[in-house]
Amino acid sequence: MNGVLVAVLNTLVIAGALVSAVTAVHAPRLIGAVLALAATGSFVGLEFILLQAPDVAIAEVSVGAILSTILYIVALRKVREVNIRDTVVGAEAAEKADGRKGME
Amino acid sequence: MNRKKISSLVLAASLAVILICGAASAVQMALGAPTYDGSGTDVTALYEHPESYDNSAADGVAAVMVNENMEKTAAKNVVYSVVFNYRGYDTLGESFILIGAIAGTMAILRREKRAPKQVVDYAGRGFGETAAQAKTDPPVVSAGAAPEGGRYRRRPLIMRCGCDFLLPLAAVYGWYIVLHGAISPGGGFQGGVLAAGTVLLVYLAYGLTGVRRVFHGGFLHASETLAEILYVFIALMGIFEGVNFCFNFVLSGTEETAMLMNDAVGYHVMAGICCLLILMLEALNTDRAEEQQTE
Repeated sequence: MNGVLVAVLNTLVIAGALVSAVTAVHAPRLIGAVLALAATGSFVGLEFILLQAPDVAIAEVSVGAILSTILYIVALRKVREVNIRDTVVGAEAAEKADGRKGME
Repeated sequence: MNRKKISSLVLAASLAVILICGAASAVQMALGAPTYDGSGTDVTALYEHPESYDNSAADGVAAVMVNENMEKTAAKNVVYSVVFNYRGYDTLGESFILIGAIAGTMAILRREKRAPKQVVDYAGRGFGETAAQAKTDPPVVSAGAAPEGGRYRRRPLIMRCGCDFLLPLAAVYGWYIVLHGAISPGGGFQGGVLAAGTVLLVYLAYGLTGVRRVFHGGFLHASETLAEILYVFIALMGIFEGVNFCFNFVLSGTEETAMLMNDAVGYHVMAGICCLLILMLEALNTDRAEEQQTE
């Protein structure tokens, strides 16, 4: 790995982390923000691999991009009873209530 | 002055102290000589020639960790030795973080007495003298037999088949990462989280009923605490031989305490994350079941 490749890869990954972090703040829906946080965790994990720390990379991806995202999505579902798959009762009742489709 | 004013005053005072100290230290750092100017390292040289890393100027603890790590401790890996030997106390604290997180989640999400007499086994029958009661009582929504609003809808076939195929693979792969922590990337924390993904596989394929049949939250919580105590016990094993706390004490042959501590941490993290996921999934489905009951 010569110097130019190292510099380019690092810059790309850090730029990706920045873009997804800004998306997490400015996303219009909460579920979009949660997925942007997952993307940020993945980019940071990739940066850890580039810095030659694979243990930390595995920990970051498994906790920040997978587990934390799952906990956030479960918490969002607890607040709004509409799930991603099709349930008959929940989605229609929620839409009838105030016109929102949920996960917002 | 009432309580709100006092608390806001204290907050403002502490913020002011932090800001002033931070500004003063930044000014002092800018005026003084730099402690590390980075002239000894070049990032691209590290990638191309790792042996050219200049570690001759390390002093104190850093000198021991950098230069004499593999000779002093019988560890297989420098990172491993730092995490479990020189910084074993930090790893203990990190395990406590997980216990604290699960305790907090339990405080928020755990339901104490949903159906006190409804003790059902895997086939939906009651145990002992509560069986007669279960037959005569009106069906409770949050009973163990039908937790999802009275309709146990089977998941699609492909999800069930996928879980049947992937479940042993996920469990074994997670434990492979734990057990090979010394010689491949991974270790206790990482492998524990991966091994706890089995809860999610079972939930996706069999729903909360399946999760309740396969896992038991109380047992997982108890075993997580036991793993923590085991970690401390293993770290204390070498004390009678005259070595430090968490020192990599070789028991016999190639069996060493850093490896056992790694396994204990892996078990601790796996049980803890399983507990956490079961708590969140139970809270989710219980709410949905109760809402469907009230409609």
